[in-house]
Amino acid sequence: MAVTIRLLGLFRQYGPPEPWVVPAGERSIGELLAEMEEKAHAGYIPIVNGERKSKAYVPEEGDEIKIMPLVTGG
Amino acid sequence: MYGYWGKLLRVNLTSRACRIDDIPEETFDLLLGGSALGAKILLEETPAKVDPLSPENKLIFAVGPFQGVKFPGNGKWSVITKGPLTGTFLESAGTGHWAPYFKQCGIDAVVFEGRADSPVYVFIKDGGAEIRDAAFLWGKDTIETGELIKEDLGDRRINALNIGPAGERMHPIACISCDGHSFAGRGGAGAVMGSKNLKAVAAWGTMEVPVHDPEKAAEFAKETFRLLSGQGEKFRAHGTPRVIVPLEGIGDTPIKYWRGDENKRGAALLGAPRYTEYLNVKPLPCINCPIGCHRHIRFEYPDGTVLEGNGPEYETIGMMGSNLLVEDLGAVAKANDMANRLGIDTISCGAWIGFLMECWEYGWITPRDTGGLSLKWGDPDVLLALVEQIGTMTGMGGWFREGIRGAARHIGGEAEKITVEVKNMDYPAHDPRAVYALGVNYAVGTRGACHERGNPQTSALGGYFPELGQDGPYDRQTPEFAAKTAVIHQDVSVLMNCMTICQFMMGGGGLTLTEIRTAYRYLTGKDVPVEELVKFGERAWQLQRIINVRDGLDRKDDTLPLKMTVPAMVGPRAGKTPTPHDRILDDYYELRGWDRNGIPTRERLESLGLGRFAAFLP
Repeated sequence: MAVTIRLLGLFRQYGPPEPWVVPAGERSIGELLAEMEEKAHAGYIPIVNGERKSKAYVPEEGDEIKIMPLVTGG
Repeated sequence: MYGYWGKLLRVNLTSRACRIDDIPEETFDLLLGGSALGAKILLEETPAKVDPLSPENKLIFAVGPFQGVKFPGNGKWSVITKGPLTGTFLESAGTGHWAPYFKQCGIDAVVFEGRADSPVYVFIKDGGAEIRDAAFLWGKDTIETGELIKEDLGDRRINALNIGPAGERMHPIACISCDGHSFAGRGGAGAVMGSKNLKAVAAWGTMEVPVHDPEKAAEFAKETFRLLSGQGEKFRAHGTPRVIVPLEGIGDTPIKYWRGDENKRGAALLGAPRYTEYLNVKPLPCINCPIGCHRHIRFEYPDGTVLEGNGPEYETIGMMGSNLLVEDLGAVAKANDMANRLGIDTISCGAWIGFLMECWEYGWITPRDTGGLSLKWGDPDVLLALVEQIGTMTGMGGWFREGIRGAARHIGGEAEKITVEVKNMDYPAHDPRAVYALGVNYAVGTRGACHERGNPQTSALGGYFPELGQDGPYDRQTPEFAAKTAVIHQDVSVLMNCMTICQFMMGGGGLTLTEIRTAYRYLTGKDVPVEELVKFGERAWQLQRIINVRDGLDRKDDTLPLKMTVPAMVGPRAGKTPTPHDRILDDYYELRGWDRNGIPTRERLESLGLGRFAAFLP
């Protein structure tokens, strides 16, 4: 069982090629994105099935997951 | 009434009289506060086409309901007036440590009227205000002024919004400074202060704002603070300079006054993470900020001089660095410090220097015009010399007394065709060819080309609003999505300026509209669904448009600069332009409920509860 994670905006420059497919029910979103977060120097919010979740959330089969970076300029 | 005092302080600088008027609760129910409250006052109390620098113009400072508790990002304040750079409505917003203490004086807004016959500053305190002599402050820079006022009032906790020498000279891009590191930067609100002989507005209040559920409001504010502090950790580390490299990577950053295609080397040299280490950065938080995105820098130059203080933000690096091909971060930091002390907008200042460098490249200006200075792209010494001239309106700086359009007229020939502005306000450091929504967003901007009302460039970084039914950010280079993206981002960002909460709490800290709804309910006792919350943003926007339409502005003024119709040859902007502009504008007007000429319709205004303001339309 696998889940696709969609990286948005800034994170697309640092993530694996799309589609990024990970096993369901194993690692939390925080664990999956730890390295990328460091590389991107940017935090993020996981949005699972349209709702914000914590980084501790473990993806489940059927989830629609998007990663919204937390960085801005102006 | 909870969350507000329902009080408006009026300070007549001509008669030196202060009085407090009531603001009915219905006004806040309709408009929230901040930007919208100021727009209402300006619309109702100033005549059409009022001269921005005349005593008849009004200068309004306003906050919203969030200053009653220590809510994250509530250091925000708005200043509203007719703007000298554009001649249009102007709202500019700053942060720092002023807003909550202003609110604790027992007022929601202050209106300055008339003109003092000699320099003054105003000290607002519990339940009133005192007009004080400011002769000893005249000529002082923004940092010195803040320090001298603390001494004069004998209390180092007191902060004052103030202007530098540029504001005193009624410079069209004079800004208002708070704490020396946060600015109401764009459009020349500082010049309006100067025109009124008003050097500064200090505030220190101790009154407790009435809150509907003080316990829950305080607890929720504390929880939200903790949440945003964690989520904003990376943003805290590098601040806005973090986005220099990725935004260059998508073609968003200006290069060579909007003619360059790529600048990867420059971006790496100017942006974070290099910036953070090179300038010895520490985060510099405003009051009640869980992030601290401002940068405190300490940099030693090769000659041994040390610059310690506020460091340049993304916009400044974009306009004074990349835009000019200047790669010397120390020089950009110095230019930023000079501009901040003089009290001028670094965005327009950088744009003007780019414009001059281009005119020099074409041979339209010569050493005879420049006093022998060679305006070479990338030269840090030219940057510093021109910041000085522009800030003091000497030399070439004198050509800009009426902004870039005036300078282009002065130079003549083809110069007017190369300016990049809307309504005389220069583009900030985000390129509509990278994010099409920016083209229409700048075009219809109620204060001219503005990236913070709304800020669709954040969608290119991945930002969007799931609570408003968005499934993700709209494609940034598809014309069909441009108007829709602009509308959503305008409504949300203007909402934040009515609430007077820092917009970076969202983009940098992850604050949600739902959290704002919850906090607002605890503060005021009123529950407003998120889709209704954003209507506050739209109401403010419509009021601002009415002010401009009353003065004769319409579709002809909602323009796209010529350069934005020319695609880059290589890189992420290659082949891309935010066109056809007319069609995107049609889409936008339809979404806004405006007619084909850009005039708000009575039906739309009535649907928003603004029907009575239709009377101000021509």
